Amino acid sequence: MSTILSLRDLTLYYRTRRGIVRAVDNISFDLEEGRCLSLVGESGCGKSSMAYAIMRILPRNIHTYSGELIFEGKNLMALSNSELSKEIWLKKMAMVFQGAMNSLNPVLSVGEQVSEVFTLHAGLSKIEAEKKAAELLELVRLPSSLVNKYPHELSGGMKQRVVIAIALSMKPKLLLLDEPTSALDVITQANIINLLKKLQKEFNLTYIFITHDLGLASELSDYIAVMYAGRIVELGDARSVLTDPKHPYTQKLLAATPRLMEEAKLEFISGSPPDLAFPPAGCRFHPRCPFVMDACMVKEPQLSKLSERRHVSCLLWEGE
Amino acid sequence: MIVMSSAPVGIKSVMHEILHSKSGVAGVVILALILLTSLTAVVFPDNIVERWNDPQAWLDKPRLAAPEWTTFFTGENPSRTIIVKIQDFKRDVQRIEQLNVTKIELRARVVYDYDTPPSELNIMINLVSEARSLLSVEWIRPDGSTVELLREVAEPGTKAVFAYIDRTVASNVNAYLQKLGVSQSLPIGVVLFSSEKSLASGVPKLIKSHDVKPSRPYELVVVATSESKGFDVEAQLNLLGVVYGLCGTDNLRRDIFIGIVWGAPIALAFGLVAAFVVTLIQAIFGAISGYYGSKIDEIIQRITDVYLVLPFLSLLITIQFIYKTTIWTLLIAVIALSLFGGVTKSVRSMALQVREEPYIEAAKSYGASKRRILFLYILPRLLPYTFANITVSVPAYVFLEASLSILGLGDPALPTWGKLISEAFSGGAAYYGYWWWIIIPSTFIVLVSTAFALLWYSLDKVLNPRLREE
Amino acid sequence: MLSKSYLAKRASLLAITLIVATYLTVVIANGGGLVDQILANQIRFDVTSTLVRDPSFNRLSEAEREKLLEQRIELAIHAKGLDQPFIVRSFIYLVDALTLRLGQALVIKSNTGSRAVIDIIVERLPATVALFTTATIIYSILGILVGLVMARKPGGFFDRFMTMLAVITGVIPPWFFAIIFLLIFAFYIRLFPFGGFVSVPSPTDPLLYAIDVMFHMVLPLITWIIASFPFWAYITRNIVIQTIGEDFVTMAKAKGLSQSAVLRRYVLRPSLPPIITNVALALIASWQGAIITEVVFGWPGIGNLLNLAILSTDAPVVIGAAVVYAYLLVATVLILDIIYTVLDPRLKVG
Repeated sequence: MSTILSLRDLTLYYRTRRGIVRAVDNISFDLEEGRCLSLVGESGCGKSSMAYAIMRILPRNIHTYSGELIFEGKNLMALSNSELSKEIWLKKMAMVFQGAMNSLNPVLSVGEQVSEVFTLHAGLSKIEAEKKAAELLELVRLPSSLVNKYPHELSGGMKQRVVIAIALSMKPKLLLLDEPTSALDVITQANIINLLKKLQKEFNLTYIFITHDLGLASELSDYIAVMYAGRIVELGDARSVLTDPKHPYTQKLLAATPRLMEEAKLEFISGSPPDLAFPPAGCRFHPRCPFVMDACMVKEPQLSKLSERRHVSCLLWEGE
Repeated sequence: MIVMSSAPVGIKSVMHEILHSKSGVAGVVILALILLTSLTAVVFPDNIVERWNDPQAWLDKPRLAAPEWTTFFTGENPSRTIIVKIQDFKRDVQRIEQLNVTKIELRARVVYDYDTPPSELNIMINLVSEARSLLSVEWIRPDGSTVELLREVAEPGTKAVFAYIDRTVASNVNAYLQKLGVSQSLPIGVVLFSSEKSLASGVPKLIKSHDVKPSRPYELVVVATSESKGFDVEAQLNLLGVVYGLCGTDNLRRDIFIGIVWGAPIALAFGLVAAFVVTLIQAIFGAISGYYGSKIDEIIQRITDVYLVLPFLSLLITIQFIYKTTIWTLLIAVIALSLFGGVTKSVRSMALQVREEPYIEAAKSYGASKRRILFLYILPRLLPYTFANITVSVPAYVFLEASLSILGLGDPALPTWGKLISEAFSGGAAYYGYWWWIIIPSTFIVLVSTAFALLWYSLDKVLNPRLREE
Repeated sequence: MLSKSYLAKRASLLAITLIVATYLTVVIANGGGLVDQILANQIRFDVTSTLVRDPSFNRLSEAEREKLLEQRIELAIHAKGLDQPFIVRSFIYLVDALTLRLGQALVIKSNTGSRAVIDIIVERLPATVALFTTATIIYSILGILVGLVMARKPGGFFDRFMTMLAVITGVIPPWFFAIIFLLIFAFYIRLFPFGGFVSVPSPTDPLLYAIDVMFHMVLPLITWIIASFPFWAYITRNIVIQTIGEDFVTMAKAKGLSQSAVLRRYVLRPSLPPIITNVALALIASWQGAIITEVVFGWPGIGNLLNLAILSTDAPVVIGAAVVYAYLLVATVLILDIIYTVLDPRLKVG
């Protein structure tokens, strides 16, 4: 398995009225082809910003954007915006937005929005593009009669499938899925996850799956990265992270997850997530950590390797 | 959708927004100046309307005079108004006892150094007498030459002699010209203010007091003789200039500056009251519509839709045309025709959002009545937007009043700015180039509007909160 | 077509508005007993002209003619129900006004010599519609384009400058600019004519005539455009900025679409429906500002007619013009609604 994506010290800070928001703070990891990495975290921890940082879709108010972004051996940071737009986006890396929200243009029909990538990108004629669009819709288990409908006529689940179809239209290698099922009911969620699993097998896709739902993450992923306040606090293969969490935050998250088969009392994490504009000094989790030491308030822990596929960012484990 | 999360709350924050931006401060300053001007109007005599419409009150001002500061640009020195009041005449009373006759001589001396003759030369004479008297009026120039203006038997009472147009004066002046051997007819003003030599030569040239060494004033000599007891005579000499005052005068000799000053409070009051009442009513309806929802919402929205398409100005024109109401009845009509409008719609969508917020749910759960929630929780959130809207809609109403006045449908008596412009138009100001009559009132209207525009600019954040994400 | 439901609703709403506006006009006007007079005159006119054409009528003596005339007139008044109580009468007038039976003018005559108010108005209508439509098309396109440029760099110099301009022109009505421009360009610089529709004497050649009319239209057009487009640009800019922040625009970019494709299909097209709703209100106000603008420029349209009628206290014309204005207003809004329906598919279905 070759490494398809490599991040080194990827950083993204926004400039806002309140100050500089450190949404993504020196993130590094490698991802192998064909695998699924889930980025898990609470709202506001910066996980959505991660997707934008990796795709390099940046808003106007950027303060800092730096680091290394190596995709299939090429450093994406060296490319210009137009090169990214022409060669990388949708063709190599595609982002799957929250379909149930406002990701589809309300004034264009579904068919138009799917086929336009073929007419505008691949230079196909209108008829050929429409054929392709119909094929794509079938791929995501949607009736091809939807081409003439408008987004407001579709259910949340259908819209999500359309977004997935569009993302797959140019056969990319890597898919970034930003909370694709958050606004959907549980049954539709399950269907979408199943679809994603099938597609991954069929096309050997690599996923980066962003979610706040540990359960979903456990369904789909090979690896889990737990994010807190813009940093990755724990990284490893899904099974061991879920069954043997090392970082206090991960432990607390799992303790807060209700289990079907157990009678364990639900715990909650005291305090609230930090303001990314004014993160706490030292370890960002220290105000809420049950194992906090004096050093934690001053020194920021780095992601240290526990084993081949296990990293933790915590002073408890540092130096091991 | 108007996102409320970062919207300022309360009227104080609106003031804060205004005062913390350059344009807002500028707007407030301009408004303050205009307010001060209107205050002076209030301090003025309170029979403004009567005075404005009474021609007698303006007799000592020139007609259609340009503002005085225009001379700065033209570099000329045109005539300004000189008024010799009664008490400034030199009196000489002679009594001839044997004939029981009193002769009073009044002499006015005027140093005149302007480049042009006055636009009018008017003499007001008041003869107090029980019988007729003999009256003579003579005009003496600096070069010593004399022109007899009047010699006649006069009845007692007040007599106004508009020398430039008076027939008797005209014939006397013509007689004078003929004596000089001048055959052409000349304007009386030219005759009275040119040296005799230049007149005789056929090329009249204005003579100033300082053209003679040592300088000599022009003199007006009024002699009245009468037999009656208690006989007295007074006179006033008005040499009306070509320029006058800060803003010039109109065709009825009215000082336009005073018109502006008196018009200011009216314009502002109308605009402010209309804006305030209309916006507030519309906002309340919007809040009710959004908060109560369902049937009430439907009804209010339908009514608003109809109101929005009503031909507002046409209806007002019809009303004014038929009933010719005063400005305050007009105000009521304006309000009645604006009970529902755009503000209703936007406040409604804001109310819809606020309604969903958790603390409203909380208030409901502990038993607060709908009305209480509306007034205590929801309306305060809508205040900044409403307040900002009041501010920016004031000029619209100022202009509405001006528009109606221009069409001749405003309050018939009040000197509003729109009325000034309307009279300017019908007085041919654009055609004959009496530009000050149009431009100056218009400028003031624009000033008020600009002040509010500046306030609007600084309140952009409150009016469009969703656009200020960073 | 399923769009009928929205349009049908709007059309019926507009019809109601028209009826309300006309009814208000009629009631207000008749507060002075004027509409009564108009209709009475109309009846008198109709009856007289019918009788006069009848040869047997003219053979009668003067006294007999008078008597017959009065009889017929009374009959006609009764037949029309005009001796009924006010409420009933007001609805009769409403129907008359809506069907544009507007009576006879008191003073004003049309160019063809007709006194019928409807003739007088129809004569003036093209001038207003031509000026107004041309102005609206030009300034709306200009406004949208400028708004797009503003939205590209929000907070930039151009944006702030145009916003200031928008606020100032939004607050000052167009007729004010008309006065200033007239003074500058007609009186001082003498570049354009003082107003009016054509020069006097007007050219006979149709092409030259057309050019002459257009020449006279330039100053009113420029005034109106300059007074209106900044505000439209401001509205466009706000809506476009909001649209740019939407998810589907980000997704369009992530699809690798070209900048121009994103701009056209994902920014401009979705922005158009709300722009049009917002501008509908501005258009209504614009119609009303037209009245004084026409007066300033002496443009022989309905606004000018209204002014003339006011000056000559020709009530039937004032009322007639007010009613026609209501019609024009409603027509404008209806056209806008149709455009809106075409642009927004959310209304096309359901």
